[in-house]
Amino acid sequence: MINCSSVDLPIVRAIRVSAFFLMLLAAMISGNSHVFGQQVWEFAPYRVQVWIAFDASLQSDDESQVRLLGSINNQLHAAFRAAWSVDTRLAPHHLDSLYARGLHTAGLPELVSNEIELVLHKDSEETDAIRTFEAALERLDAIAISTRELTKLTEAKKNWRTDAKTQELVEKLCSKCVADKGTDNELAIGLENKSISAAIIPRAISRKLEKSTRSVFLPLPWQTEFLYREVDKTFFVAVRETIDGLIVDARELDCPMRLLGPVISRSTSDPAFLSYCVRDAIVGAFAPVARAEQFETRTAKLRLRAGGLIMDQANPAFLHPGDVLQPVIRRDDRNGVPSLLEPLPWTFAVVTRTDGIKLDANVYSGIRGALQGQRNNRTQRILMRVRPTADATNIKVVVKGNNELPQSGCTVFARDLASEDLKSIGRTDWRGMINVASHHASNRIIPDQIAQARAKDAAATGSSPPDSQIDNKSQSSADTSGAGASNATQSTPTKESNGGQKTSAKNAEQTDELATGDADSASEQGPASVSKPAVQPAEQPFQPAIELRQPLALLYVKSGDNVLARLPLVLGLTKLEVAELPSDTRRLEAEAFVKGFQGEVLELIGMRNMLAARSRKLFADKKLDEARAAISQIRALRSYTEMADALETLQRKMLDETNDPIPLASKNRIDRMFQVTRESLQKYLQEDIARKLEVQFEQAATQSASVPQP
Amino acid sequence: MMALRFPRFLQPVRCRAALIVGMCLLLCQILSDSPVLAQSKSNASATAGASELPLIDQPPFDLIRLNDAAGGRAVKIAPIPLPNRMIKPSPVAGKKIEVILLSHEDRRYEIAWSDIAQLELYELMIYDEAVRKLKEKDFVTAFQNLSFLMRKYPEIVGLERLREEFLFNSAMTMFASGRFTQTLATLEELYKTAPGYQPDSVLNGLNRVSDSIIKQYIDKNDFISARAMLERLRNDFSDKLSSVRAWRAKLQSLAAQKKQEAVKLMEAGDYRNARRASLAMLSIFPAEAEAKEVFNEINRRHPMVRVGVMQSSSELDPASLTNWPARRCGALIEKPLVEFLETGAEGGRYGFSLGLIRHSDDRQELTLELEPSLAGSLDAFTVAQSIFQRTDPQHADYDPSWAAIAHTVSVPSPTTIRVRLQRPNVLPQALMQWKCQLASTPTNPFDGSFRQVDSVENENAFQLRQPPTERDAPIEIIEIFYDDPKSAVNDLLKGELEVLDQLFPADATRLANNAKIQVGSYALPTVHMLVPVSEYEFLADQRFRRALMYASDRESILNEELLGSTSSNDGRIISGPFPSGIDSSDPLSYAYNSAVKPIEFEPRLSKLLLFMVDQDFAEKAEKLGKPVPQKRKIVVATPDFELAQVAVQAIIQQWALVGIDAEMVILPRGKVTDINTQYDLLYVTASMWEPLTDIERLFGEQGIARSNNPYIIQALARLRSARNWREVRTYLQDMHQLVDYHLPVLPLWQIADRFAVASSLAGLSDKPLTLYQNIAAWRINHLTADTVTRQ
Repeated sequence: MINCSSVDLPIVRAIRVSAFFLMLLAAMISGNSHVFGQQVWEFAPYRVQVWIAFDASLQSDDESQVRLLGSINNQLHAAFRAAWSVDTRLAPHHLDSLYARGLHTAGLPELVSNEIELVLHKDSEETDAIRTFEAALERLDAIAISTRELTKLTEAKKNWRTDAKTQELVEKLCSKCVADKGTDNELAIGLENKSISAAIIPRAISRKLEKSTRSVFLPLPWQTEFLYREVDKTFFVAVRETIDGLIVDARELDCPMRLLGPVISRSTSDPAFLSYCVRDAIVGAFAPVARAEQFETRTAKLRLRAGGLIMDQANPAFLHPGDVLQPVIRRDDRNGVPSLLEPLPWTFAVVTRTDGIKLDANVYSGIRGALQGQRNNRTQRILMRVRPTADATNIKVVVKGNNELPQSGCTVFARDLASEDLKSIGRTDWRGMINVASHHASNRIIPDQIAQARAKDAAATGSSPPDSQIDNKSQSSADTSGAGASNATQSTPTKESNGGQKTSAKNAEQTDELATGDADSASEQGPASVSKPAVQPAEQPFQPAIELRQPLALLYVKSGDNVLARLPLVLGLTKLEVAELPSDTRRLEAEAFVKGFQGEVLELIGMRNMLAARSRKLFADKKLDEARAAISQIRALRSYTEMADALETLQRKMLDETNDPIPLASKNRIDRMFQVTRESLQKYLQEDIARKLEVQFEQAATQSASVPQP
Repeated sequence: MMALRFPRFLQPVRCRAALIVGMCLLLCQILSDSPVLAQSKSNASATAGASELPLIDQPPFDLIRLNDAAGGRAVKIAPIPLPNRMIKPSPVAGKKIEVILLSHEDRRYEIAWSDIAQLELYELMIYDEAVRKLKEKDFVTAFQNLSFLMRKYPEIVGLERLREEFLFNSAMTMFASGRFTQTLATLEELYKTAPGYQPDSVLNGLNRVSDSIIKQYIDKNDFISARAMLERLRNDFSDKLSSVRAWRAKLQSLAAQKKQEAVKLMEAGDYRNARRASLAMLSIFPAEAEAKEVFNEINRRHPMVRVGVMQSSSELDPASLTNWPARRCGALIEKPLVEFLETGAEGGRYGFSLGLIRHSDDRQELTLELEPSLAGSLDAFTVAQSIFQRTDPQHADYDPSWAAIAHTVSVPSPTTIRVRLQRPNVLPQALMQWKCQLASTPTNPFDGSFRQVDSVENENAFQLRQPPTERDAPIEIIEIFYDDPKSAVNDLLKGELEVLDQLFPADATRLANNAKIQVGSYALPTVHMLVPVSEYEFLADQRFRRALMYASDRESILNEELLGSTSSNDGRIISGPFPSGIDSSDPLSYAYNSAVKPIEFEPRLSKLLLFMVDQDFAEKAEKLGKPVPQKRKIVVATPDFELAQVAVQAIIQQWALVGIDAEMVILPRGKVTDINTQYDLLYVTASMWEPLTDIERLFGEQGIARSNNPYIIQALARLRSARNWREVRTYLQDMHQLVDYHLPVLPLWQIADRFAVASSLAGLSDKPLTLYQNIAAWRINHLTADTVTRQ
């Protein structure tokens, strides 16, 4: 038996260590101090910056702070070993207000709003050709800056220890700065009216000048823009004092993906343990990163960042089987400036196997081909481990294209990822909202390869797919069963198949592939039940289901008999997720009436047949009058023509677009529902059963009369 | 010809017929079970042969015993046609009589008189047996024989004497066994039909038995019956019965005692017991002026109304949709923020409890103006806060129906609250019938005019908060719970109650004929339905629910079991959750889709649907490899209310005919739901007076029938978006159609509920919405010299 998590084979470890030293040697030979400019992903440690701010109430001298920072650095090194190259220092002062407000309030705009940048007028001859900081230093004689910002800049330069090259650049910048008596806003006005061609002003102000100016990156190591370029992870750590002791909040900024993680808090009542507490908070806030190398519809092959440097599975940078990852896409323009930075909505991967560097993962997505797409050097598909912090997530189902319009009454089911059992969670309320608690998440998954093999075997042995469960569940819990010939089985959600169900996406390329059609989904082939050991193929090595380490749920949103979406979601990752799904209102309305009508048809058929049988029996018993009475009762029932007319009227009403246009897809589905019903009418009610019985009785009477009497 | 008459029992007139029927039933019981009867049957068998029937059940025959010379046999013959059935003392010797032997009916024989030792006639044999049985104290057999003779052979000599002895002896035996009423009836019968038969003994018996009976009444404080009995005995026997004289004196003394007690209690301020004592006094001597004056004085000092209720309240909610008692009592105790006043041409008319309410012309804004008099005690901000809290899902008062339509709440001035709606809404104020608790105000402006003072097992008392400003206006209301409607009606008739809150429809018809009782009907009907509440998988299937409907003969249950009438004004079958109104012009019927016909009683179709459901479940289970779900007994819960219980029992019996097993559970008193009781269906009585919003209160997220059916939920959302009354009607009628199709509730019927008021209370409006709607106008009518009490 191969244990997927057994990665510490001596030979593997030996190869990894050798490779690392070879890399290091090559770097030394090349004489390039910036070793990881051309990084080898799995052997490049995370470049990590930790910025700590202490609450004003925590008085400490510089020496203590230095000692504490050193201790934290040592703790982090002990935890992450070679996987991290970490620098721990006090947070820059321009972030003081942000720390004071609390880390949870920080978004990227808040982080950068107090930071300064070099702003050049677009139409100025002097600045026309300047695109880089170096060019600016070379070509500009003076750069205007307010006295306040110059003071802050000078102070920051003095306090911030950095490498010589950066130090030199900063020195040069300061030498070009000319203090202006005006305020930052006055400088902005000067830039706008071209009286100033270059100035350094805060971003919060420069954003307003985007039409007439151009910004140039300043390589100031205490600014976020610098971190974006030079660091992989930044941790903002705040230490505050409460009556319960010291609270440490840590929040990660993934710099390449410019993604802020959740705030993770730890506490200690003993200041002596503060460094341990900080380490724990950072470890909790840290999201290991893997790169997508190969993508299939349902699986992906990944490569773990710094995986080659991790010698121990206890290293927080290690990804274990069962870890849930969220894909993030970064697409750069020609200048290397990101044009798209976005976590893929409703898409998650679960590590199923790892050798420490290469990972296999199951992919669960509500979007067809979520991880697929054009591959090029400018597009990165990164997966980061999720860090859910809440106990539940609210899902809000709204109409695509109109966030204000909720879709209420949708039933939400959770499918167990291992057993594939379905469980009804509830329905969306008038706001289109439903609260999904973490306990609705699956506990385990089956690696896709095994699941597929079992599905094939199940198909061969004729076991029923668990898809039909959703129909059953909906009958009992959603109370939607129709009396008529339900086409519910046509519209039940299927398990993930070639691309799975479509769902909404925020980005433009995905919105065209929104949620599925009911009948469409029926044709999709999915894995059948994996919960039955009996169907496990003999040649498949037995592999236990993998325990999920984060609460991943596979949710289905159903409106009436129609599955609107399939939504994988890590519960508690966010407090609110908005699912934009195509409006199903008119189709559902039609379904409500058509199903009711089908019930009427069913009962009518039942009554007709019952009365016909009764009349035949009475005739056989020679009770002719009663038999005729039964035929009269059949005649008194609603006729085919009446029912067909009623159906026609209903169809006209349901397809009326006077006040409200019907989406084409809905219209097609409505037509299909009516067509099915019409066919039922023709098949079962068109025949004049009363007349037929009368003829039969007459013939029988004639025959018995013509039989010669003995 | 004298007939044996059944004794006339001395009971209050209204009960006599019932008691006679009861007596007959009792006799039947005795006849079937009595060991005496068994013995008498065996005796008869001994006489007539083991295999023979009692004499009175055999075809008539005479018995000839031949003398020894002729063989000594006893022969049964057909009755001999003797003149007057009299045997001559000395028949002529040598003469013969022609007889027909019962064993050879086709032959005739002649027997010489000289060969006959004894000739026994059929009727005399029965007479002899009656005498024998009387001696043996086998009164049942004796009564049968006697009764037979008096019908068939009344001319027998000594028969009347035998009847008198029978009556006397049986009376003595009944007295000894404590059956006083039967003894009295028997002795009265004897005294009237045979005044000469041992008159002293009979009168003595009458004295003793009447004494015992009256004592029993007095011991039970049933003065009305005691008085009625005394009056009757005095009329029938003048002053011949000493016990009557003695008891009259005792009652007079008791009345005086009760009067003293009443006065004492009144002076002590214990008006409830004072009234009870004075009622006892009045029931002893209703015509006595002094007694009336005491009663009036109590009512003057502390006007009190006693209300008989069929459902007691465990909670108070003046706007409750489904809890009749909560709505009734709630109206006494508190005012909702907005109150339903009456139906109108387009929806109901509503009043703001604290001032005025205005709906803007564009239907997108509500303005609430506080009364200037509230300026010191209440500010608009506090009220606005309460209104706004209803939109907050985290708040305890969250009301999703309101949150779905409200947009903003603002306070433009200290006395004005403005509510902006998300979109035009035709009747937003109907959703604001909330109980409000404004914590920041010293006195609650939503307090009703009464407060609850105490609550004992069967009684709830409410007292006026402020001293009354009007004379004879009730300052205390006492609600008395009755689980038996008959005893409630009796107490109303006896004067124990002034009002009966709900009447069993059949009782209403009966009481309407009583001049001292006024029967009124409430302004709006209630809608009755069964609400599926459990996760029972069969019940979740729409076909199964339709099968339940097809198996219920609602028409006959309503007309025969509940209403006792077929008038559609009293009640009618409905096809949806909305009231159908009296006709289509009734403004209340705006939601009712008359094109949707009520599901008819079709047990065969019901069986067919059940079969289909079974098949379907079996197939699904097989497909999933799971066990087939097993049917179990459906549990139907009903409030502790007679009408609902009768209805549910009848429905369950009908379901049993198609093979649906069900049982009834009764919810704890005062509750219309109960989380501690497991049930599948709940009998709900809803006051659907504003279908537009009440349907939301029924099926919405906090409704008693909150629905998971996506079609119903969508229909509710669509209803919320209605911008005018045309759309409201269309959407509601569509909703009605959908309810009929999918049956999220099983609609039963609507009933026009009735109440009854005694003439001692005035001021009840003709057609109130709830009992206490105009309680401020209620007045106690005092007894006058010529007032005849209801007893």
